[in-house]
Amino acid sequence: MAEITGTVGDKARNAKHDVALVQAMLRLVKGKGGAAYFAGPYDGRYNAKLGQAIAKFQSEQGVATAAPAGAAAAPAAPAGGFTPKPITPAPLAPAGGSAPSSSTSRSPFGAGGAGVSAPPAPSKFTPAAPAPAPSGPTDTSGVVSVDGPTIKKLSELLPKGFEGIRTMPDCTLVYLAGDAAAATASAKEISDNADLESGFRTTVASLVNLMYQRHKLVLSLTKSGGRRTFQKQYELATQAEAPTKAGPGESNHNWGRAVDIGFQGIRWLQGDGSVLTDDYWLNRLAKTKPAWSAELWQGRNAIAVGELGLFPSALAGDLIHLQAFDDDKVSMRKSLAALLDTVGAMSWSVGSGSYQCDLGGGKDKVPVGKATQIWNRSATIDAAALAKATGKKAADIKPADVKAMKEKLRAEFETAEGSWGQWTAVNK
Amino acid sequence: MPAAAPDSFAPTSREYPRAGSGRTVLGEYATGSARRERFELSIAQCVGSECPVQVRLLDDAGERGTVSLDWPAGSREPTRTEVDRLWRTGDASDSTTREAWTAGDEEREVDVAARRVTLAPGVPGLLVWQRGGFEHVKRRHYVVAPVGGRLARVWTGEERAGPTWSDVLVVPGPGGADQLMLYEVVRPEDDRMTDVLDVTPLAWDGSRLVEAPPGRAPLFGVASSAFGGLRAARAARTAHLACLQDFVAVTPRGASAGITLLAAAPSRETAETIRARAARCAPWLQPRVVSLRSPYSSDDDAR
Repeated sequence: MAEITGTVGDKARNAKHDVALVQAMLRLVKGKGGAAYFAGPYDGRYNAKLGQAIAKFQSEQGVATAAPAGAAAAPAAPAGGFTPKPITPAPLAPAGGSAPSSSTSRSPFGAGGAGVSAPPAPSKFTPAAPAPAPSGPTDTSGVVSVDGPTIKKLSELLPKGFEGIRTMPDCTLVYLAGDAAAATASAKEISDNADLESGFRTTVASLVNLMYQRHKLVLSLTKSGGRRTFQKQYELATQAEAPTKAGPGESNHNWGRAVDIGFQGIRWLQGDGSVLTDDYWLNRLAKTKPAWSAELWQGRNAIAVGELGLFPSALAGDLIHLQAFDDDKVSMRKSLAALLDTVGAMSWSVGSGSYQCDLGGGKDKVPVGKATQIWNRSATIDAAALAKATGKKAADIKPADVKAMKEKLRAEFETAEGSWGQWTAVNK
Repeated sequence: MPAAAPDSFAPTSREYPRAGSGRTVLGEYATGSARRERFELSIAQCVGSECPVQVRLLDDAGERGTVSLDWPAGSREPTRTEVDRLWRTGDASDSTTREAWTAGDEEREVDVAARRVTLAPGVPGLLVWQRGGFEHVKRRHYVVAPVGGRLARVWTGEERAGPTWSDVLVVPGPGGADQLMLYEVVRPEDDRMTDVLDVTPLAWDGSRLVEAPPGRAPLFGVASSAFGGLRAARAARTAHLACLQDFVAVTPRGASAGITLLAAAPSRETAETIRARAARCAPWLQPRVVSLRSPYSSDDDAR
């Protein structure tokens, strides 16, 4: 059954997530005349039209006690006196019912209902038929109470496939519950992923479990959202439309302490009640309702950051990324240099994106270039640099020696990659 | 035709960057108005580790407004860089590199480039690109212009989350004005979801840039013959990335099945250039020039 956390209606609590859910349900459920009780797109804001829709539904379904004539509708609960029923986390269980396929409706989801045709609002509330005498528990007319007969009846009358309809506290988006098996599989995949640092993967798996238990949302890692090989990192950093500036060894993703974890497959309701399936990053939602997309990420981070101690990315807008520490304090390049210095055969340091190395000579370090260059066997060294670092005469150094040194520098990076478990964060 | 106002991504004069008065000036762009009015792109005094990147409107009388961009730089010591294919997505026919500035390190590294544009006859503006982030790079686009005698931010283009790339193309428009187009591409890492291509022409409404009315700025595309599925289409693009970089894998309108590789272009001439290049490297694609709705969203075709 769909659940609200507080009352919705005239002088009710009207939390936006509850209002949105009731709006969406009244949009999906048809009245005796065949039209939806609520005509507009849901937006989480209570208004008189919603109040009329609630009252009409209650009247037709016989789930409300009419308010005394001439009196304002009694509030369901005094302001500040309502205690929402806590949602008890349920153990993961297979979801029942089949999900509706994505809508093929061409009606756009627009702010203010743009493009959504709404029937003309009645100028006054006019019941279509004499209200049936209520039997059993009733709500006050115009108010939907928590676990009350109105929300129960609405749930019963939902079209097939919408049984899992719900919202997240403080979020406006109405969505369908995700699949419990998918959540279980995602959590297991993460906790079994030996390419993620042990403590970190346990925490991320907990995030997946908690997100499903509390909100019936499935989180999962993107394809490249787990630990990346140095080669994969190199490809990402050097492709056109490069999504990252971090070269091999410079990304949190190279060390098993970062993930990109999102809402792949979430099915959410558009304003007209049709269902859209979204990607990890909620791009379809972000396009039409960026504020609602932001709310969902905040909901994820309330658990991930607020409870589990993970960190978001320092870059505003990089919402999918979570990591084991605050990257605002950590230098990934210094961290890589420190690991190279520890596990490699050469002495390393870094400054302004370019690495320096003694080339194994134990003398002065020389600039050897960026991580992408080193990995690509294109370190910025020449005979003079080799001579300086090794004490040999530049004239004695052949092109083959330079090439061989570039291979060795690449090998240093490979050693670091193989020692990923020894990586530690170094501050800026 | 009025003489073309100077425009550049960053002045190539070695005069820049120029330090002074507590800021580092990256470039100055004449508006063409009187009293040496100009846009100044600079990095202002740092506050802690954040150094605001700003545009100021200056003339002989002084400053007439300052707009701070959303992403501060990590330092006031910029280095020159290039706006190259690693940074930009659109304008497939434009292989010219442009100069830009980079300041800061790792997560505090921000790139910035700018060019002067004409939003409407007699209305100068400055188009600014920012690229920020280290782990995940994102882009943001701004247009600033004098409004009521003061500098104002008249438009911002924010890139969406995930594997998304965006750019603002500038093409000659009617009456000597420039036609700006926001170009956005999403490439989901999922063989069940098509790519997304959105092209949104912008128009000046007197005080800001807004989405242009439908049909105002013609759009063209280059479409391939249909593939059997997403995987095949993406594999074909990957195999010929040098010439198919700008193509996306989408569901063509009216098609009951199949996936097309599609690239957008702001003019028929540009579309033809893209088509010819694709036909040379992958003739079996049978690329053809098509007209696209304006504004265009591949998601609308998919519904």
